[in-house]
Amino acid sequence: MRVASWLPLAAFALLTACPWAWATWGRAGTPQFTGTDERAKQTIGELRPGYRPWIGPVLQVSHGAEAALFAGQALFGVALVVYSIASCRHLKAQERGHASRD
Amino acid sequence: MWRGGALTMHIMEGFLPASHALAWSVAALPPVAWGMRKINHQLRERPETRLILGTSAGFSFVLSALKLPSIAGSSSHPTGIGLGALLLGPAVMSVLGLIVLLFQAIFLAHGGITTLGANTFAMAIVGSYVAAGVYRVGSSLRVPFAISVFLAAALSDMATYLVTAMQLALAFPDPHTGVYGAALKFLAVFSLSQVPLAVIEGLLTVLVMNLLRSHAMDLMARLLPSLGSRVR
Repeated sequence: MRVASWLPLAAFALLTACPWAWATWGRAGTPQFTGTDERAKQTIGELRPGYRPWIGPVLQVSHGAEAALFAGQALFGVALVVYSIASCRHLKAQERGHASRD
Repeated sequence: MWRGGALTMHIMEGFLPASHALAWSVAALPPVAWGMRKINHQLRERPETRLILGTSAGFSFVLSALKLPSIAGSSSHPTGIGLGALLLGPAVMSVLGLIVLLFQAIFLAHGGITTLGANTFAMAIVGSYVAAGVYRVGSSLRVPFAISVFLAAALSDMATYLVTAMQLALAFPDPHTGVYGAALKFLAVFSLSQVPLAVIEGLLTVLVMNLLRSHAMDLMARLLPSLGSRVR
């Protein structure tokens, strides 16, 4: 694997692992990460006390279901990428086949 | 174990006043319509471009499902917009970004239908055009390929949060310091998690672009001739 390929991968792994490690060993207890939207909601509460959303989400999901849905979204994305790359390779192979016959 | 609130970075349902939500939807409409026109044209001319569309949409779906923690104790996710903006152009990626946001708004209670216009404007439109613009400037200044791609993806991510912070600040100005003060507060909220995420997004985009460049770029450039002028 070329340096240009593994270097970003290593940096990605490091950047993702460090916060986990810090949260696990740097602070006592289970790591808790508040969503950015929760922090934004707190800021809205400070700027406009008593503000309530005028409409709620179409679908209310529990945290467990949310995690599963996010995993589903990621799987769907992976499937799309794999299908597209596989089709590209298939096209390339077809072109090579045509070229060798010609 | 992962615990926390709804791990999201888009403006939540009902968190923009109706007039603002409507105004951002109207603002997002022309670029999205232009992007749809371009997709229709590309698919009619070269149906195989659906493969590049699939790769870009898939990458965005995967990245926006990656809930990553930050040292600050908050979490958020990258957008995955940069790659598609470089491969397909910003107009087309605006539409794909809208599809990702719509999916999340309907099925994940992430973002919202009423805030879809504002989120589309920030992520799919501004994010895409910033990525394409930064890459173009980098290329014209002969910045190395990987650095141009990294900057394009990372700054696209940062631009998304900058615009989101501005949208919220316009809706909820600080009683004392006005829109400017509120914008600084929202930027402080986002910057803690988004700066590291922007770096992660930049790195992942470089990784994927390097792989595509070495294995499939010749074929992709033949499928979509304008790609050759965008990505060298």
